[in-house]
Amino acid sequence: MKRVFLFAVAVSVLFISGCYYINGWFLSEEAQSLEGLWYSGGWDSEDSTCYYDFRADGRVFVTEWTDDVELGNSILIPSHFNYSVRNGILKMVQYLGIASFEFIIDDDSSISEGYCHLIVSDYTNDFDFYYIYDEQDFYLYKEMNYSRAAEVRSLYGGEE
Amino acid sequence: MRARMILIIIILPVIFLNSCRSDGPDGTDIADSLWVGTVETADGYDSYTVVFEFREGGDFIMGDPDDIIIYDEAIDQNFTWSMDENYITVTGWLGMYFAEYAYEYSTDGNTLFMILIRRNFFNETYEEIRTGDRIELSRDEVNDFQYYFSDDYYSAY
Repeated sequence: MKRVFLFAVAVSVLFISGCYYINGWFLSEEAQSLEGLWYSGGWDSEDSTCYYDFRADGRVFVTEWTDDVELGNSILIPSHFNYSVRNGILKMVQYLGIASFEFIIDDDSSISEGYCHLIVSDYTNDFDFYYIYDEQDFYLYKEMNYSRAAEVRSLYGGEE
Repeated sequence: MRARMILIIIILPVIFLNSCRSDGPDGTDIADSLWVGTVETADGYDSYTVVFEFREGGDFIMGDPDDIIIYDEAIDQNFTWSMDENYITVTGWLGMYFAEYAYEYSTDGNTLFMILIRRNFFNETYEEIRTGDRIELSRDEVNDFQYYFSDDYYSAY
Protein backbone atom coordinates (compact mmCIF):
# COMPACT_ATOMS: atom_id res chain seq x y z
CA MET A 1 0.00 0.00 0.00
CA LYS A 2 2.80 2.34 0.98
CA ARG A 3 4.62 1.46 -2.19
CA VAL A 4 1.59 2.36 -4.27
CA PHE A 5 1.26 5.68 -2.45
CA LEU A 6 4.93 6.55 -2.97
CA PHE A 7 4.73 5.54 -6.60
CA ALA A 8 1.65 7.73 -7.08
CA VAL A 9 3.42 10.71 -5.50
CA ALA A 10 6.52 10.19 -7.64
CA VAL A 11 4.49 9.84 -10.84
CA SER A 12 2.47 12.97 -10.00
CA VAL A 13 5.60 15.01 -9.39
CA LEU A 14 7.16 13.79 -12.63
CA PHE A 15 3.92 14.39 -14.52
CA ILE A 16 3.51 17.96 -13.28
CA SER A 17 7.19 18.75 -13.96
CA GLY A 18 6.85 17.17 -17.38
CA CYS A 19 3.78 19.25 -18.16
CA TYR A 20 5.70 22.47 -17.60
CA TYR A 21 8.58 21.23 -19.72
CA ILE A 22 6.41 19.99 -22.55
CA ASN A 23 4.13 23.03 -22.40
CA GLY A 24 7.03 25.15 -23.64
CA TRP A 25 7.20 23.10 -26.85
CA PHE A 26 3.69 24.10 -27.82
CA LEU A 27 4.01 27.82 -27.30
CA SER A 28 3.17 29.65 -30.49
CA GLU A 29 5.72 32.04 -31.98
CA GLU A 30 3.50 34.90 -30.86
CA ALA A 31 3.64 33.61 -27.30
CA GLN A 32 7.39 33.04 -27.46
CA SER A 33 7.87 36.64 -28.47
CA LEU A 34 6.51 37.71 -25.09
CA GLU A 35 9.20 35.83 -23.14
CA GLY A 36 10.87 38.14 -20.67
CA LEU A 37 9.94 40.49 -17.88
CA TRP A 38 7.41 43.23 -18.65
CA TYR A 39 5.81 45.87 -16.49
CA SER A 40 2.66 47.99 -16.57
CA GLY A 41 0.68 50.14 -14.21
CA GLY A 42 -0.98 48.28 -11.38
CA TRP A 43 -4.19 46.30 -11.73
CA ASP A 44 -5.89 48.41 -9.11
CA SER A 45 -3.83 51.56 -9.12
CA GLU A 46 -1.79 53.32 -11.78
CA ASP A 47 0.62 54.44 -9.06
CA SER A 48 1.86 50.92 -8.49
CA THR A 49 3.85 48.74 -10.86
CA CYS A 50 2.83 45.27 -11.97
CA TYR A 51 5.41 42.89 -13.49
CA TYR A 52 4.64 40.07 -15.89
CA ASP A 53 7.25 37.33 -15.95
CA PHE A 54 6.58 35.41 -19.19
CA ARG A 55 8.65 32.21 -19.11
CA ALA A 56 9.72 29.86 -21.85
CA ASP A 57 7.90 26.99 -20.12
CA GLY A 58 4.51 28.62 -20.70
CA ARG A 59 4.05 30.06 -17.23
CA VAL A 60 3.53 33.71 -16.46
CA PHE A 61 3.89 35.17 -12.99
CA VAL A 62 1.98 38.41 -12.49
CA THR A 63 3.37 40.10 -9.41
CA GLU A 64 0.17 41.80 -8.29
CA TRP A 65 -1.68 38.54 -8.65
CA THR A 66 1.07 36.64 -6.86
CA ASP A 67 1.11 39.14 -4.02
CA ASP A 68 -2.66 38.98 -3.72
CA VAL A 69 -2.67 35.19 -3.72
CA GLU A 70 0.03 35.05 -1.07
CA LEU A 71 -2.19 37.02 1.24
CA GLY A 72 -4.82 34.35 0.75
CA ASN A 73 -4.32 30.69 0.17
CA SER A 74 -1.51 30.03 -2.25
CA ILE A 75 -1.85 26.28 -1.85
CA LEU A 76 -5.30 26.11 -3.41
CA ILE A 77 -4.72 28.92 -5.87
CA PRO A 78 -1.55 28.76 -8.00
CA SER A 79 0.47 31.92 -8.05
CA HIS A 80 1.02 31.71 -11.80
CA PHE A 81 -0.98 31.32 -14.99
CA ASN A 82 -0.31 29.24 -18.08
CA TYR A 83 -0.34 31.57 -21.05
CA SER A 84 -0.90 31.22 -24.74
CA VAL A 85 -1.28 33.58 -27.67
CA ARG A 86 -3.38 32.78 -30.75
CA ASN A 87 -4.53 35.24 -33.37
CA GLY A 88 -3.63 38.25 -31.27
CA ILE A 89 -5.43 37.02 -28.15
CA LEU A 90 -3.42 36.48 -24.98
CA LYS A 91 -4.98 33.97 -22.62
CA MET A 92 -3.81 33.47 -19.06
CA VAL A 93 -5.41 30.46 -17.40
CA GLN A 94 -4.94 28.77 -14.06
CA TYR A 95 -5.39 25.08 -13.37
CA LEU A 96 -8.96 23.97 -14.07
CA GLY A 97 -9.88 27.54 -14.96
CA ILE A 98 -10.03 28.69 -11.33
CA ALA A 99 -9.20 32.08 -12.74
CA SER A 100 -8.53 33.18 -16.28
CA PHE A 101 -7.96 36.38 -18.16
CA GLU A 102 -8.17 37.10 -21.85
CA PHE A 103 -6.58 40.11 -23.46
CA ILE A 104 -6.64 41.44 -27.00
CA ILE A 105 -3.15 42.45 -28.11
CA ASP A 106 -3.88 45.75 -29.80
CA ASP A 107 -2.52 46.44 -33.29
CA ASP A 108 -0.45 49.37 -32.05
CA SER A 109 1.73 46.96 -30.05
CA SER A 110 5.31 46.48 -31.07
CA ILE A 111 6.49 43.50 -29.09
CA SER A 112 9.93 43.38 -30.71
CA GLU A 113 10.46 46.96 -29.58
CA GLY A 114 9.27 46.21 -26.06
CA TYR A 115 5.80 47.69 -26.13
CA CYS A 116 2.54 45.77 -25.81
CA HIS A 117 -0.95 47.20 -25.48
CA LEU A 118 -3.38 44.77 -23.86
CA ILE A 119 -7.14 45.23 -23.72
CA VAL A 120 -9.18 43.13 -21.28
CA SER A 121 -11.73 41.13 -23.25
CA ASP A 122 -12.80 38.50 -20.76
CA TYR A 123 -12.13 37.28 -17.24
CA THR A 124 -13.68 34.63 -15.08
CA ASN A 125 -12.69 35.82 -11.67
CA ASP A 126 -11.13 39.05 -10.52
CA PHE A 127 -10.63 38.05 -6.86
CA ASP A 128 -9.51 41.21 -5.07
CA PHE A 129 -8.94 43.26 -8.22
CA TYR A 130 -11.98 45.45 -8.08
CA TYR A 131 -11.02 47.71 -10.93
CA ILE A 132 -10.57 45.17 -13.69
CA TYR A 133 -13.30 45.62 -16.27
CA ASP A 134 -13.98 44.84 -19.93
CA GLU A 135 -11.98 46.91 -22.41
CA GLN A 136 -9.61 48.11 -19.70
CA ASP A 137 -6.17 48.94 -21.12
CA PHE A 138 -2.80 47.80 -19.85
CA TYR A 139 0.34 49.23 -21.44
CA LEU A 140 3.24 46.83 -21.02
CA TYR A 141 6.90 47.74 -21.46
CA LYS A 142 9.83 45.35 -21.53
CA GLU A 143 11.96 45.43 -18.40
CA MET A 144 14.33 42.50 -19.01
CA ASN A 145 15.01 40.33 -22.03
CA TYR A 146 16.07 37.07 -20.37
CA SER A 147 18.82 36.62 -22.88
CA ARG A 148 20.86 33.47 -22.53
CA ALA A 149 24.07 35.48 -22.38
CA ALA A 150 24.52 37.42 -19.19
CA GLU A 151 26.91 39.86 -20.78
CA VAL A 152 24.28 41.35 -23.06
CA ARG A 153 21.93 42.04 -20.21
CA SER A 154 22.56 45.49 -18.92
CA LEU A 155 19.76 47.59 -17.58
CA TYR A 156 22.02 50.58 -17.43
CA GLY A 157 22.82 50.86 -21.10
CA GLY A 158 26.41 49.73 -20.85
CA GLU A 159 28.44 48.15 -23.64
CA GLU A 160 26.82 45.04 -25.01
CA MET B 1 13.43 -1.31 8.36
CA ARG B 2 11.57 -0.86 5.12
CA ALA B 3 9.88 2.33 6.39
CA ARG B 4 13.29 3.74 7.32
CA MET B 5 14.60 2.98 3.86
CA ILE B 6 11.62 4.71 2.26
CA LEU B 7 12.19 7.78 4.43
CA ILE B 8 15.85 7.88 3.42
CA ILE B 9 14.90 7.49 -0.24
CA ILE B 10 12.57 10.48 0.06
CA ILE B 11 14.84 12.69 2.14
CA LEU B 12 18.09 12.18 0.24
CA PRO B 13 16.84 13.49 -3.11
CA VAL B 14 15.29 16.50 -1.34
CA ILE B 15 18.62 17.32 0.28
CA PHE B 16 20.44 16.68 -2.98
CA LEU B 17 18.10 18.85 -5.04
CA ASN B 18 18.33 21.64 -2.51
CA SER B 19 22.10 21.53 -2.56
CA CYS B 20 22.24 22.01 -6.33
CA ARG B 21 23.16 25.62 -6.81
CA SER B 22 25.10 27.88 -9.12
CA ASP B 23 27.17 31.00 -8.50
CA GLY B 24 25.80 32.43 -11.72
CA PRO B 25 26.63 32.37 -15.41
CA ASP B 26 29.89 33.60 -16.89
CA GLY B 27 30.24 37.32 -16.51
CA THR B 28 28.56 37.54 -13.13
CA ASP B 29 30.40 37.62 -9.83
CA ILE B 30 28.32 38.57 -6.83
CA ALA B 31 29.83 36.13 -4.33
CA ASP B 32 31.83 37.22 -1.32
CA SER B 33 30.53 40.71 -1.62
CA LEU B 34 28.45 43.01 0.46
CA TRP B 35 25.65 44.74 -1.41
CA VAL B 36 23.90 47.76 0.00
CA GLY B 37 20.94 49.61 -1.43
CA THR B 38 17.23 50.20 -1.28
CA VAL B 39 13.97 48.34 -1.65
CA GLU B 40 11.37 50.37 -3.46
CA THR B 41 7.91 48.96 -2.88
CA ALA B 42 5.75 48.09 -5.90
CA ASP B 43 3.24 50.76 -4.96
CA GLY B 44 6.03 53.33 -5.28
CA TYR B 45 5.33 54.92 -1.91
CA ASP B 46 8.13 53.58 0.28
CA SER B 47 11.83 52.98 0.15
CA TYR B 48 13.97 51.14 2.68
CA THR B 49 17.66 50.42 3.16
CA VAL B 50 18.77 46.80 2.89
CA VAL B 51 22.07 44.98 3.17
CA PHE B 52 22.68 41.67 1.39
CA GLU B 53 25.74 39.46 1.72
CA PHE B 54 26.19 36.69 -0.82
CA ARG B 55 28.89 34.41 0.53
CA GLU B 56 31.13 32.03 -1.35
CA GLY B 57 29.70 28.53 -1.11
CA GLY B 58 26.09 29.63 -0.98
CA ASP B 59 25.44 31.16 2.42
CA PHE B 60 23.34 34.29 2.37
CA ILE B 61 22.35 36.82 5.00
CA MET B 62 20.25 39.92 4.71
CA GLY B 63 19.17 42.72 6.97
CA ASP B 64 17.67 46.16 7.31
CA PRO B 65 19.52 48.58 9.60
CA ASP B 66 16.20 50.26 10.39
CA ASP B 67 14.42 47.01 11.31
CA ILE B 68 11.44 47.89 9.12
CA ILE B 69 11.24 45.80 5.97
CA ILE B 70 13.48 43.01 7.27
CA TYR B 71 13.32 42.39 10.99
CA ASP B 72 16.51 42.15 13.03
CA GLU B 73 15.91 38.48 13.78
CA ALA B 74 16.80 37.74 10.15
CA ILE B 75 20.43 38.66 10.71
CA ASP B 76 21.03 35.48 12.67
CA GLN B 77 19.40 33.22 10.10
CA ASN B 78 21.30 31.51 7.35
CA PHE B 79 19.91 30.95 3.89
CA THR B 80 21.28 29.73 0.60
CA TRP B 81 21.51 31.76 -2.56
CA SER B 82 21.77 30.56 -6.11
CA MET B 83 21.94 32.40 -9.39
CA ASP B 84 21.12 31.28 -12.92
CA GLU B 85 20.83 33.19 -16.18
CA ASN B 86 17.59 34.91 -15.26
CA TYR B 87 16.92 34.55 -11.57
CA ILE B 88 18.50 34.76 -8.15
CA THR B 89 16.85 32.44 -5.64
CA VAL B 90 17.12 32.46 -1.88
CA THR B 91 16.08 29.33 -0.01
CA GLY B 92 16.11 28.01 3.51
CA TRP B 93 14.98 25.04 5.50
CA LEU B 94 14.94 22.68 2.52
CA GLY B 95 12.89 25.01 0.41
CA MET B 96 10.24 25.92 2.95
CA TYR B 97 11.54 29.44 2.58
CA PHE B 98 11.79 30.43 -1.04
CA ALA B 99 12.16 33.73 -2.87
CA GLU B 100 12.92 34.26 -6.54
CA TYR B 101 14.18 37.50 -8.01
CA ALA B 102 14.64 38.48 -11.64
CA TYR B 103 17.91 40.37 -11.83
CA GLU B 104 20.07 42.64 -13.92
CA TYR B 105 23.79 42.77 -13.30
CA SER B 106 25.51 45.89 -14.55
CA THR B 107 28.37 45.49 -16.98
CA ASP B 108 30.84 47.09 -14.56
CA GLY B 109 29.83 44.51 -11.94
CA ASN B 110 29.07 47.10 -9.28
CA THR B 111 25.29 47.30 -9.46
CA LEU B 112 22.70 44.61 -8.98
CA PHE B 113 19.04 45.25 -9.70
CA MET B 114 16.46 42.72 -8.51
CA ILE B 115 12.69 42.39 -8.70
CA LEU B 116 10.89 39.89 -6.47
CA ILE B 117 8.82 37.67 -8.75
CA ARG B 118 7.53 35.07 -6.34
CA ARG B 119 8.02 33.93 -2.82
CA ASN B 120 6.91 31.37 -0.31
CA PHE B 121 7.38 32.95 3.04
CA PHE B 122 7.14 30.79 6.08
CA ASN B 123 9.67 33.17 7.55
CA GLU B 124 7.96 36.25 8.85
CA THR B 125 11.19 38.18 9.32
CA TYR B 126 11.31 38.81 5.56
CA GLU B 127 7.65 38.95 4.73
CA GLU B 128 7.48 42.69 4.22
CA ILE B 129 9.34 42.34 0.92
CA ARG B 130 6.52 41.69 -1.53
CA THR B 131 6.33 40.57 -5.13
CA GLY B 132 6.95 43.46 -7.50
CA ASP B 133 9.25 45.26 -5.07
CA ARG B 134 12.42 46.56 -6.72
CA ILE B 135 15.80 46.24 -5.04
CA GLU B 136 18.72 48.27 -6.31
CA LEU B 137 22.07 47.38 -4.76
CA SER B 138 25.63 48.64 -5.04
CA ARG B 139 28.74 46.73 -4.09
CA ASP B 140 30.24 47.90 -0.80
CA GLU B 141 33.93 47.03 -0.62
CA VAL B 142 34.65 49.16 2.45
CA ASN B 143 32.37 47.94 5.20
CA ASP B 144 31.34 44.53 6.46
CA PHE B 145 27.81 43.32 7.16
CA GLN B 146 28.04 43.94 10.91
CA TYR B 147 28.95 47.59 10.37
CA TYR B 148 25.39 48.36 9.27
CA PHE B 149 24.05 47.05 12.55
CA SER B 150 26.66 48.62 14.79
CA ASP B 151 26.74 51.82 16.85
CA ASP B 152 29.26 53.24 14.36
CA TYR B 153 26.67 53.11 11.60
CA TYR B 154 23.83 54.50 13.69
CA SER B 155 25.94 57.37 15.01
CA ALA B 156 27.02 58.29 11.46
CA TYR B 157 23.44 57.87 10.27
